[in-house]
Amino acid sequence: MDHARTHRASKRGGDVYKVSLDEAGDQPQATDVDIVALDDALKNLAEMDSQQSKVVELKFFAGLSIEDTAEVLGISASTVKRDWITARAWLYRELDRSST
Amino acid sequence: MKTERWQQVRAVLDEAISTRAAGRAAYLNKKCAGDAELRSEVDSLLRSHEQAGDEFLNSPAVDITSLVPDTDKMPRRIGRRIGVYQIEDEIGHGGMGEVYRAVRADGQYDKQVAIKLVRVGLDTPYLVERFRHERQILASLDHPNIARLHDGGTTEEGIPYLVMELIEGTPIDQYCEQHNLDITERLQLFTQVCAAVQYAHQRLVIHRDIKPSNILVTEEGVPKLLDFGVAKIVDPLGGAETTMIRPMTPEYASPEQIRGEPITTATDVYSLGVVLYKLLTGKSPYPETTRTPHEFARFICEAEPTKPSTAVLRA
Repeated sequence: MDHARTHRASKRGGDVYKVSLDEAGDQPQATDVDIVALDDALKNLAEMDSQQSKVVELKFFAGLSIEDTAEVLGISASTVKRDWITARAWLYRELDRSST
Repeated sequence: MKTERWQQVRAVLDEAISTRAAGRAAYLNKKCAGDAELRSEVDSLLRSHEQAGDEFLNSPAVDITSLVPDTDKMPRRIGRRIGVYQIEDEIGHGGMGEVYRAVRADGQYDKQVAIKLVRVGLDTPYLVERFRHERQILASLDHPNIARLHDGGTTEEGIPYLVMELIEGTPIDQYCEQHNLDITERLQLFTQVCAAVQYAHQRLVIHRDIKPSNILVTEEGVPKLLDFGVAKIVDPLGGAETTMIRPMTPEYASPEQIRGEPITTATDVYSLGVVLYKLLTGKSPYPETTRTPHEFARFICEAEPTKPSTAVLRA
């Protein structure tokens, strides 16, 4: 996350961000979601529902399955699924707003 | 939005999503009667839900499961020849492939070597060329605390292999325990390891997988770093400096490795820090309950480890 922020700051004209020729063509392409905006939105979500933000962290950032997320949080898989679906709709709208 | 309001919105939204389209309007009319704001909020989120489709956030930012290698096995090779080397014994096998003890079969000299067979498909000329190039760089590392890379090649079946100095020793953490080394002795040992890493860094070679099992201490008490840079050449598909290592357990991995971010010399320094922590406290900086790769990933990226001075006091 810090890395993403640094990167973004440099695009705004902050510190020079050094990229070697080797890595320039090969940045990790895990997702085309704006990770920084997502992190900001997640913080807002955490204030409304901390469990939902944890579900998103584990499922999206740690790559856990619904079942593993349920086990880590000590809640049922169906609860995780409901938390996930509604959180995802909310985050989608937040990111949509932040990009326009 | 306030917590209570959100709980109300999400309950209606949740029910609406699981209600079939035909009955949805009736459900919403009933649930949101007299609360136009609630209705418009739910409608808006229902649209987002549909627009989000199957794609949004459904591929994890980091595929942690890829950190765990598959464990299919290659046929046994003891007694067979690889290049000019005769395989004598299997020393070990892991996620990367197998390691054998071997001697030169052409009688040029009878020094024993370790041969590491790496399990990757190097089927394009570009990757074969890169493998060769990397090997040359590693072969130029000449330091008393770094296991030498002598040679390398590709077997008849196209499996790349590396021929390395055979080190017989004990992982540094076990060595310290077995010999009851005091703090000064542990630090002296560790300083030699740091000097070897510094030597390689000055030649722009990053180890990428520093951990006790890659730091063997010989009977004479000399620490030897194994597999310098090997994590990079065995994972050429991972590409350039952004390569993620694939350790069995990411206990010694740095946050940038977990996140798949560019790897630098600082990556090795982080892993050295974890090793030093272990040597000084006898414990991992992460809680003892940490076991699975994703638990490590969370702790490494998010948690502040217990101070070594505090960890030591917790017997």
